[in-house]
Amino acid sequence: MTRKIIDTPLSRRLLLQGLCGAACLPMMGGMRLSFAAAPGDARFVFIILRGAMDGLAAAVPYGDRYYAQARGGMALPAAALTRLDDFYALHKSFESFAALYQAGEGAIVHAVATPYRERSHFDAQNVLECGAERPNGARDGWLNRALGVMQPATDTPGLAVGQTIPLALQGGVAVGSWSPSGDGLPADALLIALEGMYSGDAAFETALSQAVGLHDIADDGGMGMGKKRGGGGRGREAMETTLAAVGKILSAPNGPRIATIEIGGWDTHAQQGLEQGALANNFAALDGAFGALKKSMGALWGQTVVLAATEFGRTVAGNGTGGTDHGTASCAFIAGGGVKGGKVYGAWPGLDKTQLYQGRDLRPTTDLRQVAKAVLTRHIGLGAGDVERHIFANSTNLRAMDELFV
Amino acid sequence: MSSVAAFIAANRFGFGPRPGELATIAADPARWALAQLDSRYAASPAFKGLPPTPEVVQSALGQLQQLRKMKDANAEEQRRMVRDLQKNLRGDFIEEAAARTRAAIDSPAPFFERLTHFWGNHFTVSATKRQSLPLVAAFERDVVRPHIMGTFGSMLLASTRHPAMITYLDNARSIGPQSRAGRRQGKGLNENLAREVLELHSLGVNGGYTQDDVIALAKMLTGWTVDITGRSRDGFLFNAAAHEPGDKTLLGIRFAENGENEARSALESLALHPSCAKFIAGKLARHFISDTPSAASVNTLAQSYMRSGGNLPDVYRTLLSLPEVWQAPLPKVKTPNDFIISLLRAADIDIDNMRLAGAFRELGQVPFSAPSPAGWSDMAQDWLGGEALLRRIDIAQGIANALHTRVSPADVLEHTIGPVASDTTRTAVRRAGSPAEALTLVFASPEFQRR
Repeated sequence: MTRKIIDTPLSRRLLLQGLCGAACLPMMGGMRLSFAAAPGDARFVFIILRGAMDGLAAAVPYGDRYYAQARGGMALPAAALTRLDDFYALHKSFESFAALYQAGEGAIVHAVATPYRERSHFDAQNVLECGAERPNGARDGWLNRALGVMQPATDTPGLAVGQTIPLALQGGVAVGSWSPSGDGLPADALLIALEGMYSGDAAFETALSQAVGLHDIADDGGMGMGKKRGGGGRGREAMETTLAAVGKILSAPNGPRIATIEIGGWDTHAQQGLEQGALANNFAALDGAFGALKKSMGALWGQTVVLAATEFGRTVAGNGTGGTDHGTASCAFIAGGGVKGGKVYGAWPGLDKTQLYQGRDLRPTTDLRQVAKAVLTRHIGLGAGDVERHIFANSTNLRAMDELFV
Repeated sequence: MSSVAAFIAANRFGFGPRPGELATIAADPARWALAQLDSRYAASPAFKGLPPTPEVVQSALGQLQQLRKMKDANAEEQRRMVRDLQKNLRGDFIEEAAARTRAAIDSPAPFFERLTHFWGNHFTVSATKRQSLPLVAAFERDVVRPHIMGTFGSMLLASTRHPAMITYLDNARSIGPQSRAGRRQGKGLNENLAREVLELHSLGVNGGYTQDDVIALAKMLTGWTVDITGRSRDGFLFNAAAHEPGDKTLLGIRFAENGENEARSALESLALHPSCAKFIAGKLARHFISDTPSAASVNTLAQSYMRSGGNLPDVYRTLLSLPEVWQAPLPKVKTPNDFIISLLRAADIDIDNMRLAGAFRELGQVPFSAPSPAGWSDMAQDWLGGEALLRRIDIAQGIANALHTRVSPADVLEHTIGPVASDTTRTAVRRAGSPAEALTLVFASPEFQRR
């Protein structure tokens, strides 16, 4: 079947009455579609790692002469590592990301932190998401402010993967949400009745048609419509299933430009494990997200950047219960078609006791906003002035990490 | 008055009617709402056996001490102790959240419960911050409910003194740099509480204060901390050793050095400020009338506030007398919290605490868990996303499936949205393929989800 360009919202109800076959479902659901690539098509996915990821276990500075001594029981054996160069290695759970790194499309920024220097998850995540220098320094999220500057002409400019919209994406620009863990769409008969009932109320009609549109795309051309959906769990496979669907939604013509994905479970105070264990499983899930996004974004991967970051790092030394406590700097993962990968960015602060922040944490050498500024200017194409005026206030002195991009 | 007015009263000033309630309200909808403005409703049977604030502080301290003792235990014992503690905390929290919801479902005075939720959200303390988690429910019982029929100033004072607020906004860590404790420890101010009192609790972000005012109020608030001795009645303690000495100037008014009473006087004067009147009037109007209330309504409310010195019952009565209130019946979309309570009232069924907690989680509005000090949004655009609507429909369907053998969908329609149901909605319900589907449509209708 040839694809038709449809530029008016079309109701699923008409569709189910036989005006169109299942093959054109991805074009439906009230999304305005056009198939020409246009400037401003860049996509950005921000993966929020909630709970404080141990960056030293993810991107491992095994070449630091103090590494084994400083980490003690938390030091990873060689068998748990995939070497990147003479100094850094990845935890071996990062299979897809290692491939991205080797292909020059994936990079790591190490010893990175937000400007927040205390150790409350609550306040630190707030800073990570609102993009200000202190907790609650802004009421909206930096990604929503970015959408406000971008003004993409699309029905759903931002997309939260999950049942609620995280602060990072909250604000004046209306954004959508999609979740794999619900029951999917209501059965067809009920859906048709609901669409009829909502035809008299624009707000409800729009919300339902948006949901139907996103679910149809995620459901692989509508063949799975109305079926109860799996996924939504943890671990690599669940993440791959979810992110394959997310990639489809994002890569749809005129799909959402910015998306957030939240992965929790990084607060490893006890028994975080080494080659295997809770942390290794979480790494595998994060790794699955990168792999699945590259695959499912298809041709649009060249115009996509995925950034994964956490609110703060963990202590360099382990604690008494096989885990690590709240620290300061961690690492961030960045990948995408335009990323100058194959490199670990950021000045390395060192692991000698005298080099640590407050004698216990990895010392931050890069502000995460330097990475974010580069994404917004070099990848999305916003003006540096707009970014400093509207998105990251008081950041004029923070140099954008432009070298991350080709 | 018409039955449309009964629908308006039951939903705008309540959580929607229970079966048969619309007919009772229709006799005199405004009087029905007015009669609920009575301080005897501050108590509710739903709270029987739940601990008052000082008790909660003591039990939280007890848990901390247990955690300290853990150091001597082996790894297996430690895991078990942490698990037990978490289980207790979670269990207590689910019980508290369910009690709050039941108080609203069962109340003979739903307007009073709506006011509780409104003020609880205005003065947000949230369980998303772990240290505040045990205290948030006691805050609503001990700060909000007893002051609903008082002045705004008295509620502002009670809120700012409560351990939940002091913990949530870090005031226990704020130390006057020139105080005895500050000089000894080299520690300083934490402006969090002062900033939010000005921005979110009293004057509003454009209320005419500056960063210097934030610092001045933060200095006045130094020493306001949590009483861990268990001796005070309300869990509050003034620690003079942490209080910043010297006179302070707030909004151009000089406050002479006066220990605990500085902030007390400052809060009183904030509560009587015209910006505060305007801010509270706007929030009340957006909550109870429409996402975009008329300037005339907001002004009338603000005038009532100023005239009465912030006496809240006067302001509520003014609200009930506004012409706009009795006009358009459906401008607002219910929040998930109010939608769930509406459903359970209309269905007249009870569900267990765990499933109740699950429904709130599913719709993204767990009681006492707002994502930031700004509280939950009052705007439809923040609650009516595609995924959110699908989840509401799921919950509506779940309730309908539990109910459809016992009731007639046509009756439920009349008893809930009868006075405002559109032809489109009536047609959809009539043509539904089964009673369960018909009932789902009633509960998922725009009229049921709006107010």
